[in-house]
Formats: sequence, C-alpha cells, structure tokens
Amino acid sequence: MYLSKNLFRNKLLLYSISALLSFPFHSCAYDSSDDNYIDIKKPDGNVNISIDLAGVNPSQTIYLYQYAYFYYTVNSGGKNVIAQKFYLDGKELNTNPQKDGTYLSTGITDNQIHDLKLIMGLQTGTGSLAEYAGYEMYVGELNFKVKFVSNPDVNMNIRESVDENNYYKIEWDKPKEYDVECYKVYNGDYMSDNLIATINNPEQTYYVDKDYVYGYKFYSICAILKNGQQVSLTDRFTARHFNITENNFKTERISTSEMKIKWTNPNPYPCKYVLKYLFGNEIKVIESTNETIIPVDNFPTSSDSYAFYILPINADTTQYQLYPYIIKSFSDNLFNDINYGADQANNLLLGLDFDNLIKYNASDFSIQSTVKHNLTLHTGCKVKASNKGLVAISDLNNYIHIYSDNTLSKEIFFTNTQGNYFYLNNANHLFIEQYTGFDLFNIASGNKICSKRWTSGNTINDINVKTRISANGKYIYALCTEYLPEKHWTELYELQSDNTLRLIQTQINANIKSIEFNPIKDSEAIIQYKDNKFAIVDLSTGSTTTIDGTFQNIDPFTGNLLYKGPEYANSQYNVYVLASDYKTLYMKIPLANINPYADARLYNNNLIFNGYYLNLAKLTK
Amino acid sequence: MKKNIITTLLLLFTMGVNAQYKISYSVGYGTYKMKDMKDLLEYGFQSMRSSMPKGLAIVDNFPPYITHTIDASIKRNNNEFGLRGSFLTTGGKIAYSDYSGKYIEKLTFTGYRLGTLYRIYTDESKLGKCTLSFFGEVSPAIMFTHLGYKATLDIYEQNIHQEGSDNISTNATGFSIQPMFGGKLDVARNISVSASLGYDFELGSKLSTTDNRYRADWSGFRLNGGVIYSF
Repeated sequence: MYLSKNLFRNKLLLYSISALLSFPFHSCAYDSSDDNYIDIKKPDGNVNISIDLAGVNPSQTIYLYQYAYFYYTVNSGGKNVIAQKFYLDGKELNTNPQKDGTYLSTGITDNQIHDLKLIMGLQTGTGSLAEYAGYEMYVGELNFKVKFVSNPDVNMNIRESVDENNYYKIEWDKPKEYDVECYKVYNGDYMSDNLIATINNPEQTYYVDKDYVYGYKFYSICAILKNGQQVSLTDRFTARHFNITENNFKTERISTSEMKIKWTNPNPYPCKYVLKYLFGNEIKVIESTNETIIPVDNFPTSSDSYAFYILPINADTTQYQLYPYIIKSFSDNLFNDINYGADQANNLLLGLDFDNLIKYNASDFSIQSTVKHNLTLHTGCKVKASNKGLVAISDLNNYIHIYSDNTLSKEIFFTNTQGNYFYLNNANHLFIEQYTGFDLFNIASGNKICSKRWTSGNTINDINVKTRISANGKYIYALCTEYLPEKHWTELYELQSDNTLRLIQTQINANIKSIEFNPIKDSEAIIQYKDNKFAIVDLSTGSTTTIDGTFQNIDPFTGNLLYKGPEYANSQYNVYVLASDYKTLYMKIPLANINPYADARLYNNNLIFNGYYLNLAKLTK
Repeated sequence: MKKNIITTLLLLFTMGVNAQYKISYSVGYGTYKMKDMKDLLEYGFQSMRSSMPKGLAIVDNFPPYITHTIDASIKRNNNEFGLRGSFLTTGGKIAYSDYSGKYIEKLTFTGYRLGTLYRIYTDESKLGKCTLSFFGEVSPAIMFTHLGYKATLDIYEQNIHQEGSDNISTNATGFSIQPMFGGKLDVARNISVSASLGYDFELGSKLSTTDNRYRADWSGFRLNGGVIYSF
C-alpha cells in the first residue's frame, strides 16, 4: 500500500514536471498569421439574362414532347452558367443541362398547360474563393408555359386521289386539339429528311405530287405545331398504284430489224416514258403516246431486253434512272412443237407435240384447237397432211398412222416406215422411201400398189436411192448413187394408171444434191445442185429457172419460194422469198446467227426457223 | 524507481565533491532542412492550384524558428556533464483569403529533443571584472517529433466553416547529435550568460502517414543564448 502510494506520487511528480516543461514550450509552437489576403473587387448587383429557345417564343405556350430535348441557349452577358435547375409545376426535374439544352423527361400526356421554371446560376467572374467554392453566383429565373405531346405518331386519315389534271393527290385531316403551324411532306420517313414540300397554310390538308407516277412511294406527313421546337405529329402513307404487267404490253416485229411496242398504263397520272434498249446503249423518250418503235435483233430473237422507265411529265429525262422502271424483253414467236405440217385442205398448220395435235390457223398461227393423239413419240416424229385432208403421224416405233382427217377420230391405215421419208399425196397414196427404192400404198385399200428397188450389176454394192413423188402422185424422181466406182444419176418415172412405172427421163452424172416436188404444182420439181444452185423445172414443158442459193421450200399455201442466199455459206445468213413467179423478190430476211444450218420453212408467208415463226405479211419494211 | 533516482543523485553528489552544479536556460534560433516536407508541401500546393483562386500561395515553407533549451549539469574542473532538453518547432502553410472567405492548410512540426551533454572549457580569462571562458560541447539525443495538420475553409457570407479531414498528423522518433562551440561570461557569483553556435545532425524520424516515404529532418544550424545559474 505504501509502495503503491509512493509509486503514484512519483508518477504524478514526473507527469507534472513534464507538463510544466512541455506546456509553455508547446504554446511556443510554430504559427503564422499570414493568411495571404488578396484584395479583389466584390461583384456588383445584377446581371441581365435572356434566353433563345431555338426560334420559339418563350412568352407563348411552348409545345414539347413528353420525352424530348429542350433546346435553348442562355445569353448571360458573357457570364458563364455554372448551375441550372428545372422545375415543372414547382417540382424539380432531374436534368443534365448541356451547352445547347437539356433532355426533359416529364412523362406528362395530359395535353394541359404546365409551368416550367429554369433557375440558373451565373459566374460572377470575381475569382474569389466563394466563387471557386460555388457559393458566389448571380441567380436568374425564367418561366415558361409548356404543353406536352405524348406521342408524335397520330392518325391523320391519309388518303389518295387525283386532282383535276389527274395528278396524284394525297389528303389528310388536320390533327384535333393542336395548333398547327404548317405541314411538311417527306418522301420516306421524316427522319431521312427528304422534304418534298412545306405547306404553310394549316388549313390546306392536301398535297399534289406531280412527281408521283408509278411504283413504290412512301410519304410522311408531319404537322408542325405552333411554338414548338420542331414538335410535330406524324402519319405515314404508301402510295398505291396498279402494276403495269405483261398484259399491258404488246410487242411485234414490224421489220427485219425493228419492233413496235404498245402499252397501256392503268394509272391515270400524267407521265412520260424512257425506253433503254440495245444493252442500255440507247434511250428513247416517249411523250404523249403509248407506242414506239425500237431496233431489234435479227429474226429469230429470244430475248431483246429493254427497260421501261416511267417519269413524271416534267421530269428531267437525263435523270431517268431515278424513276421506277420495268424490265421487259421481246421474243419472236415460238412453236413448242416437235414437228409441223401444212393442212391445205383446212387452211391449217398442224403442230405435233408429245400429247396433242395442235391446229393453228394458217393466217395468224393462232391455236384453233387441239386433239389428243394417244401416240408415243420422240423428237424426230413427223406430221404430214395431204391436200385432201388426210393426216399422217409417225410414232416412236416408226409406225405411221394415217387418219381420215385432223380430228384423228378415224385411223384408216398404218404401216412401218423403218424411219424413212414418207409422203401423202393428193391421190390418197402413201409414198415410203426405202434405202434402195420405194413403196407406194393405196391408203383406202391398204394395198401396196407399186414398189421398185434398184440393184447394181455388181452384187457387192447397193444403189442408194433418194426418191420423191409429186403431189398428184404422177411423177416419181429417183436420185441414185452407186459407189465403187462412184456414179450419180437421176431417173424420172411416170406412174401409169395401172400402177406401173414408165421411165421418162434419165440424167447421167448429175451433180444433184436433192430433188423436191412443188407441193401445189404437180409437174414442177426443184433440183438442188451441189454447187449452191437450184433449178425449178417444169416437167411438162422442160422449162427451167436456175437460182443461186439453197432451196428451202415452196409455201404450200401461197406458192412463194424460200431459199437461202448464196452468201449464206459465207456466214451472211440471208434468206429470200420469191413470189410464185420465181422472179419477183418478195422479201429478204437476214437471220440471226442461231443454229444457222437448220432448215427454214415458209407456210402461208410465215417464216419458220429454229422453232420461231415470223409473219412476213405483217412486216412493213 | 525511487531507488534508482536516489542512487543517481548519490553518485552525482559523490562526483560533486569539489564540483559545481548548474541549471541553464537558453533561447535560440534554428534552421531546419525539412527537404521532404518542403516537397510534400509543394506537391500539395500544385495539386490544388487549378481548383483554387489564382492568389493561392505557400506563405511559409518550414522557416527558421525559435528554440528553447534547458540544461542540468555538473562541472568539475574544465569538464561538464549533464542532461539537455530542447524544444524545436517549424511549419508549412498554404493560404488564400479575400473578402469572401479564407482557405488555410497548415503543417506544424514540434520536436522534443531529450539527451545528454558533455562540455569542455578552455582556461578562464578576465574581461573587465567578469570571467570569460570558451567551451566546446557535444549532445547526443533522441528526437520526439509531432506532425500536426489542419485545413480549413471559411466562406463568410454563407457562414460556412469546413475543416479538411486529417490523415496526415502523426508522431515520429529519431536520433540527433549536436556539436556546438560557445563562450560563457560569469557576470555575478552564481550567474553567467552564454552564447553558442553549432549544427544539429538528424537521423530517422520517418513519418508513418506518408508510408515512411518522407521524414522530418530537423537538421540545421543552431544559435543559442542563455542564462546559467550555478550553485
């Protein structure tokens, strides 16, 4: 106890001495009264503040979107704005003011007028400590009346019509309960800013678009509200139009190198057209008419394409690419048949496809009717008709079926041709060429009434014979070829009434390639020579007309003669049509370089080549 | 403890046969190197310049300041042994004030230097009726340093007073050795006046609140003048 009392006394003594020594010293610790006073001028009283609301009058009710950027700039007389607060109906809004305004998110959709207050602090510019600390500023207050637009998209009942001049007209209803300043019409969405019209009269609720004539066009109609920062109500509309389709075009070849295009436009709007053709190298402007003539490739063409632009009547035609267009192509008329033959008795052209016999009107090749043939065919099968109206069709197995007429309702004869040439003559005989001769059948009786085979004296070789019979069955030509040694000759026979043959002419060493008879002149034969010439021979008189070129056929309807010119062999693919007098050139037709070695045919002045046909009577040049 | 004190006093009295006991107080002027602290103050100043008025300045940058020293010693012949305690202080200050308010940021250093003293005298001579002698001394000691920090902002019109958070104030301990030279003039039988000049070498005193990267360097010249009472 004694010890602890002394220990306490000693500690107290030590602490007392330490305190006595350190306290006066501590009170002598470093201090400085230099507070670095800077003598600067206090700010003066007031500052003038004005505001620019991007063209909006701040003293009138301002239209704003419920979620919108509120554009404004403060004129503070050179003082920096250091604080801004917005109050709507007395309640502070959460804003983040920027240099040109602030985003106001009110969510108000009541269409009522509200009080918007802006309180701002401006820098005094004294540079004082209080200013740096944000406690010294000029304070200004601005008050506005605002009305909020809940949704910029409204239904303005947009509709379309035409004006008194048939121009496209778009109409709408004025938005209710809003004070409209003007209307803006945009091509496309208004965001694209492709403004096409501003209508400053709010009572004019229509717009006539002379630039709309065809195709897709999308309009945005914006009703700009009065005293709003580009606050608008928008509705959208897509113009409707009638499509110009295949049925609105009619094209025809009017010469060997030109085509005529006619069209109808189902839309009433005044317009003009630009045609771009020849692979886009040529254009043609068409105004005040709905037809034109443009160049076309030689017959036959399968795809001469052209672009058909539809332009407003006042459009700059050099800018035609900016307008809607339709791609079209011209093609010469095409048969889709395996084979075809003239039915002179019924003034028809018969077409044969895999299922049907098609009867074309010989004058314009329009389909008159079709009849199912129930035969199995291949692409080499033939159809032929006599001028008595009998119809013969060869089938897949080389059987030839002969019907009493083109209804195919009565088959009167059939036989196998072994795939050889056959011909129905006007005497109701069926002529079938054989390798070394021919057979002639009486169709009515089914009997073979005449037959001949050529045999060589040399038993090793056959004599190859090409035979043809005249339309009336009176004359039979045989073009004979024997090899080792090679010999060529022709023999002309006359069929006697007892069906025997009388040799009436033989020609040795004939330079003949082929012989055909005129289908409508019984005594006329056409002899094609190997040296690119042919002769038309009247067998009764012996008169001969020789022409340079390659004989194609004699039109069984008109008697006109079709041949390939001598230049054809030199890749100038011209064919000629001579009138039935074989002297008058009816027409020269340059052919397109499409399978040029195919045969050309003429039926009722329709040129047929590679499946395409062309009515020569309709060519004006 | 009491036993130790009694033992020490007996030893001193034993030595004190023919010895002279002295107590002295001297006041002086000290310079302080404080390089790290000057750097720290400059860094703080540069950091706040952009957000403060243009007149902001370092008004004090650890200037020389008053020192106080008390010695208790025994002199025998020309040798003197004793204890020494000194008080040192300096500081740095960043300040700005104007009509609207005042901003002060201040670092205050106080140091308590506690150590021993050995002094050796030259032969005495006469200066008029007084006795004059010269001496050289050395004093090793432990330096207890306290760093105080204070930052205040006052905005007058709004009656705003703010104080900055203090995460700087701390204590530190270092070592010091102080050689000095001086003279003593006996002006009465028991009263002498003295004057001395020397340099204080400081080691350690790293400040924990600076992650021990900065230290309080009290090193500097010392100039003292004092009164000695002998009995």
